[in-house]
Amino acid sequence: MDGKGSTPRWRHREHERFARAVEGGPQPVGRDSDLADDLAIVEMLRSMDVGPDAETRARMKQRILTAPPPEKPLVLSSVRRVGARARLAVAAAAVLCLLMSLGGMSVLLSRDALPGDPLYGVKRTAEGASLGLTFDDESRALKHLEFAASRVTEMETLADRSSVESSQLTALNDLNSDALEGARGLTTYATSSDEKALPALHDWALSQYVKLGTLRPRLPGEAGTHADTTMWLLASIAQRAHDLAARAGCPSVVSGATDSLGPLPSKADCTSASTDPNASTGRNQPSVQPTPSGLPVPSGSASPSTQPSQSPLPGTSTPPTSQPGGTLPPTSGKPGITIPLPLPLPSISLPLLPGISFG
Amino acid sequence: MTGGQHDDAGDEPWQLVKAAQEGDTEAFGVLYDKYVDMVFRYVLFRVGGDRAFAEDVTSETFLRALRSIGSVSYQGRDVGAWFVTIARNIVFDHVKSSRYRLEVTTAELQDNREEAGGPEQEVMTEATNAELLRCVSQLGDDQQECIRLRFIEGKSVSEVAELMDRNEGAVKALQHRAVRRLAQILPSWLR
Repeated sequence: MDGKGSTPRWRHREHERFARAVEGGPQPVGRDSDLADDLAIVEMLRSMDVGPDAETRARMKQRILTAPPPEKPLVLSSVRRVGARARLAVAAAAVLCLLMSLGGMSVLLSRDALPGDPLYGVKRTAEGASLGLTFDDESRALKHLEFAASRVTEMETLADRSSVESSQLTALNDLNSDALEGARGLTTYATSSDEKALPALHDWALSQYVKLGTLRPRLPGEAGTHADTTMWLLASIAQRAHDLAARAGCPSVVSGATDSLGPLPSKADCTSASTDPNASTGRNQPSVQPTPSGLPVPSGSASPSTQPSQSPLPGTSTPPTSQPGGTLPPTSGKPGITIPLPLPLPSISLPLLPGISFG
Repeated sequence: MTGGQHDDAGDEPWQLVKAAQEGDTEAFGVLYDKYVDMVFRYVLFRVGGDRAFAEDVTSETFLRALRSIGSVSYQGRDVGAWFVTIARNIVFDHVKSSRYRLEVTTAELQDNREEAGGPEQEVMTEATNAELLRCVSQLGDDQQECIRLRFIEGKSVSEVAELMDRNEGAVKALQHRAVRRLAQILPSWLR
């Protein structure tokens, strides 16, 4: 920034000269135009009135001192307050997390809870919550059936314990309500959307029936009686599913009427199948007949006509066609699962569907 | 303005700070009186002569100082340096977005000169000052600082050396170079 060709020593001398001149030392003579310019500039700077005038000074002071006074101590206290709020928020979040995890823990722990256990209520609540989050009809119905199946599993465990009759009753009651809900939901869904749900329902009901039947002998007194009712219900469900499925190819599948198990199959002629003149009154009566093999055979005769039926019914002994009103099949066992159940079931009059009896 | 300060007078500002920390608003008022001119001039230098803006920034500086006075502590430095640091930060934030201010200043002055019926000399002085400040603001930060401390605040070479943490030779070189540079950028009508 100094002149070209200057040496550091020369520059140092120039700085010193300038510094002395600025302090009132030797002033430049003639040819030192640069120094003269520099000094003139310094003079301008020194005489520059760059401070605030009195008015400005007063104005600024007013602004500053009328601003909201700071608390003492200033910065520190505001930092502390924010700290307290932040800590409170963190604590609240921690409590919330703890509650949620406790809730989650109890749901986890309740998975193995049996009816009668303290955590069984939590289990049921969790099931209800799960149901609440399920929105489509088919899934909801299947969930009901899933819960009902859980009750059967629990019953299997309970049956090995003594003196838990009330728990068993609880299990059976819950089982009944979920099985009914699920069945109704599924038959309704199947007859309006996808009839392939019917065989599944049938199979499910039948398998639960078998399970329950296996432990039935071990159930004492009242529990045993109630178990009979449940078994009957499961059989009814299987029957209904079968009956509805049998009308899959018919012009009218359902009659329009419903009962607690859902839509009732239509009694109208199904042109693709020959019908049995044996018609029952009004309702389809799923006659359940425990055969010697112990397996209830839903009504139906063996008329060999074209079937609208459904396919995979593993483990069932359904005859190809069933007709509304179904006749009681001969007691010869149909092909299917044969489980020798020692079931001399007592005669029960059941409230749900009249005219049905075990025996 | 202030020349050198005695040691005991140098302690006094810090005692004022201490009092202000304990809530003595009057003590802060005294601090204000002591340092407002210097802060104003500093800001004016930095913003190239915009007096209205300098007033805003100066006010804001002391407001922030008052608000944060609890956090300042004696570290062997002049209290004024603390105010200047605050002011520098405010200016820095503003100038980033207000570069145009530097160019506007002289244009405004031209308009004022046409309207004002005041004495020519006064207007000339105002124009001269504004232009001078504008050119100073174009110098490097260290050069600006040196010019401000040496020729506006009137500090001695040894004082400036201490404030800027350099040796005296360096300060002499700095002041000379700064003025040389100004000589090159000042418009001809100013020389």
